Amino acid sequence: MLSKLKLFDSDSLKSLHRRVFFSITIFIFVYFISIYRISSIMLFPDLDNDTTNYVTKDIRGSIYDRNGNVIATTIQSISLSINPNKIKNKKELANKLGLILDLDIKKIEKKLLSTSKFVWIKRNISPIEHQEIINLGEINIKAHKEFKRIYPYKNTLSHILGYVDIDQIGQSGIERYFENDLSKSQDIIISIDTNLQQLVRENLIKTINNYKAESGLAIVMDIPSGQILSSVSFPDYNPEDKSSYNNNNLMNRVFQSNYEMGSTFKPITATIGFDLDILDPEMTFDVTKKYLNISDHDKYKDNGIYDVEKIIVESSNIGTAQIATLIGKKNQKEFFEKIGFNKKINIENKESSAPLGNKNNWGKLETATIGFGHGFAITPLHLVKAYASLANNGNEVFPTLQLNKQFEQKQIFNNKESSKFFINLLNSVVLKTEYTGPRVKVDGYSVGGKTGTSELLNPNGGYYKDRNLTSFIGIFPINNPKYVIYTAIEYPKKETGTNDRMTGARVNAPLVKDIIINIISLFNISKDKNDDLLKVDTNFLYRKLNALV
Amino acid sequence: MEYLKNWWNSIDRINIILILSLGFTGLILSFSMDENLSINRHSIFFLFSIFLLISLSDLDSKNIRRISLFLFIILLIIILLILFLDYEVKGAKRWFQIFNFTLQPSEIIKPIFVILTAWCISKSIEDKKFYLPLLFVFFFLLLSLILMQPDLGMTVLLSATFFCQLFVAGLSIFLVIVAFLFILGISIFSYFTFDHVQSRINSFLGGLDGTDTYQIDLSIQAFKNGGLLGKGPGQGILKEKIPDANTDFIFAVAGEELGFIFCLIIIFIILSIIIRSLLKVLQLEDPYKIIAISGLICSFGLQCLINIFSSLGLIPTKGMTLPFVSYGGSSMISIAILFGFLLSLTNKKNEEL
Repeated sequence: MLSKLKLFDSDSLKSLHRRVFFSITIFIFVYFISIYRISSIMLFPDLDNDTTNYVTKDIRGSIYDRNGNVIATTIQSISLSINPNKIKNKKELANKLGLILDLDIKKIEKKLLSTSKFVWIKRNISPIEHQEIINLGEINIKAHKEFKRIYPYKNTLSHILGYVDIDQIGQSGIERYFENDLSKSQDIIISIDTNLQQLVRENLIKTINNYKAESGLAIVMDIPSGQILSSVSFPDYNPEDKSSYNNNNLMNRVFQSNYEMGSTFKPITATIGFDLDILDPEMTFDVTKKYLNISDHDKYKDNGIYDVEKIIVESSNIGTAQIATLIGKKNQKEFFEKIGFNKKINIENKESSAPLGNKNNWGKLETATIGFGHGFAITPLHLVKAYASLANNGNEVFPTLQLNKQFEQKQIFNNKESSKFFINLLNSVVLKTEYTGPRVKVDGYSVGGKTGTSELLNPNGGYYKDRNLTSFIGIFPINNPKYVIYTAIEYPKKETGTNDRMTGARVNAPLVKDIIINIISLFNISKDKNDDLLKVDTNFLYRKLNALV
Repeated sequence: MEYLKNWWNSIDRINIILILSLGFTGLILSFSMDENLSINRHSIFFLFSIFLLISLSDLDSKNIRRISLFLFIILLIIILLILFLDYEVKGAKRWFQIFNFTLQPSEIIKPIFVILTAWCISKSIEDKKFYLPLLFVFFFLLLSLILMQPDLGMTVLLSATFFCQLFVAGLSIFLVIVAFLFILGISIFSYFTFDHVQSRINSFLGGLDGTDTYQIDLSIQAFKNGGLLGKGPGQGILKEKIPDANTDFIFAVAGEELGFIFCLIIIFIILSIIIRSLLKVLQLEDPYKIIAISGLICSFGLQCLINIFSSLGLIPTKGMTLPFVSYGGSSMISIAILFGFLLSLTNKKNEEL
C-alpha cells in the first residue's frame, strides 16, 4: 500500500550517498554562517550596528546655561561588588575593606557571609579608595563603572532640565528633548540665566509662602530674541533624588498648565480692535449697567463713561465685553490664530501642552467673555509669547530655550501704530492706577503691565468659586520693550484680619517688581535719562573723566 | 586493561579524541561557573558519561537495537507518567525526580529513537512493509507526548532528525515539500497555541508585545566583551546576569571568558565530528548504518546549531543545550548515548560482521 504511495524515490545506495553528501554541504554552509556571525560580533563589534547598545559607552553630554555655568553633567564613578562564595578568609577581608572604605566591619562581614553570588560593598567610591582596593590584590572584588548625573543647582532648574532614568536616558525637559545629542556626548547650551533663575525662584517661593499658597510660576523672557531667561514652576523637585518626584512636582506649570488668563486678555482685545480700525481710542463706553449679564467687581468711577484707556486701566469687564462684541467672533478667532493661541508652542520641551482654548460653544456671549479672558484657556507660555509679539512692533516672537536660534520674521499687525497703542495701554495701567501702579513701579525706570485674576478651573468640572489664579504680566522697560515678566499664584489665601480680595495687583505686582529689580541689578540696566537729572550728571562727569584719561 | 586496549584498537580514534576535547571545554567552563575548584556535579556527570560512552561503543549493532527498543518502551511509559505527575518546572512537565537528580526522559529518548528509525527504515527497504507504519505510529505518539509537556524545541529537533533520516533514505521530493509545509504548519500552530513559544518569538522579533530582547542583548554584549582572547576564565559577568547561562547561553559565556579563538575551536570540533562521520558514511554500504549515523549526526549537529544560533541572536531562544558543553545531567547522558551509538556503528570490530 505504501509502496503505491511511493514514499521513497529509489532505494539504490547511490541515492543514499548522494543525499548524505548533500547533507554535508548543508551542514558546512550553516556552520559557516555562525562563524561569519561570530567573527562579525567579536572581531568587528563596531560594524555590528543591528543590536541596541544597552550599555552607554560615551559619557552623556553636559548642559550649560547662557553664562557658561555647568547645570547638568555626568560623572563616572566606581562601585565595588563581591561574590561572597569565592572568599575564603572572610574576616580578614572584612577588616581590610572596613579600613579602606571607612565602613562598619561587622556589616561587611555580614555581607560576606551571605550565600548570594553578588553583593554590593560600596557604591561610588573615590579614586584613592579604588587604588587601595586594587592594591589589595583580591581578584573576586569587582569594580563596576557607573555613571551619575549631577545637577549642581538641584531644584532650581528642575523643570527646564528634566531628569534621566537609571539608564541615563532623558525623561523630560532638555534631557529628553536633546536626548540624541546628549547621548552622543554633545554639550548643550541653553538660554536660561541661572543667577536670575535663582533670584526669581526665591522671590516666587517667598510670595507663595506669604499668601499660604501651594503653587505658582514665574517666567522672564527676552523679547527681541524670544530667549527664556528664567522659568520657574513651584512646587519643583530635585532631579538627583527620585523620592522627590511626584505628579504635582513634576508638572511644569509654565509649559504644561492651561489657565484662563483673566484681565491680562483685555489689552490684547483692545489692540485687536485698534489694529483692525474697529476701535478708536476716543470711543467711549457706558460701564454703569450690566452688559449681557456681565458685571464688574468694583463700582464704576466718575460718571461711568469710559474711553478705551480707562476701560483697561480700571480693568472693566463690561467695557471690554462691549469692545469684544464690536470686534466680533471672526476677527477674534483670526487674531488668536495669528498669535498662536490655537496650537502648541514649538519650544525645546516635549512635555509642553497644546492650549485648551474654548471647547464649548463660541457664541456672542463667549466672544464677550473671552474678550476679558474668561472661557479660553492657554498656557502661561502662550500669554508671554503674545505679549512679547505685540510689544515687539508686531514681529512675532518665538519662545526658545536655545541661544542663537533663528526664526522666520512674521508681522502680526496691519497697522504700524498698533504696537505703540498696546504699549501705551500697559504704561497707563502702571501710571494711572492708585493701587496697582505704585506696587510695581521702580523708581527711575518705566514699567508697563496688566493684572489678571481668574477663577481656577476645577478638574471635576466648573470653577472653584473661592480659588483664584492671580497674575501680573509686566513689560520692562516699557519705552523700549526688552523683557516680559509673568507671574501667577494658584489659590493665594487672605491674610488674617483683612478682607481684601486676593488679586493680581495685591499678590503679583510686588513680585514682578522684585523680579524687575533683580533684572536691573544683574544686567546693569541704567535708569531712564529723562527721569533723573542726577544720573545724567554722573554720566556726564564720568564721560568727561574718561576723555581726560 | 586488555579490554581497553582492544577497544582502543577498534574504535574511531580521531572521533573519540574530538568528542573528549569537546567534553573538556565543557569541564573548563563548568569550573568557571562554579565557585570552588573542587569536584562539581558537572565533572561527576562527565565521568559517568565517558564510562557510558565507552561501554556502548563496544557493543555490536544487534545489542544496540535491543537496548534501544527496551529503553524506548520504558522511557515512553515514563514520559506518559510524568504528564500525570505534579512536578512542573518553568511551566513544563518534562522532568522527573529520583533522589537528588531530576531527569528529562525526552532528552534521553532522542538518540534511541534515531536508532529505531534507522532500523525500521532499513527493514522497510528490505521489503518488510510492516515496519514503516509502526515507525510512524511511534513517531506521532512520541511527538504528541512531547508536545503535551510542552517542549517545542525537542519537538522540532525530533521531527527534523526524523525527516533527515527519511530524506537520506530517499524520501520522494514531493513528500519533502509536504514535510516542509507540515513543519511550517506546526510552527504557526504552536505560535498561536503556546504562550511561552509566543512570548519567546515575540521577544526575538523585538518590541512586538512590549517584551524585550534582554537575554539576547546581554548574550551579544558578552561576545563583544570577549573579543579575540576573552576576559579569562571566571572573569565574565554574563553568568551573573542570565539565570540559564550555564545551559542555553554557555556559548556566550565561552565567548566572553575564553574569546573568539576558543569559540572557533569549539565550532571546528563540532564541524569536524559532523564531517568526519558523514564522510565515513559515504564509504558504507549498509542502509541501516547509513541511516542511523546520519540520524545521530543530524540530531547532534542540529542541536549544536540551534544553541549557537540562539546565543548569537540568529533565532529565538529554544532552551536547547550545547551537547557535552552545557551543564545538565540528562543532556550529558543523552549525548553520551548518542556518541556511544555512533562509535559503535563505526567500530571496526562491527564492520566485519
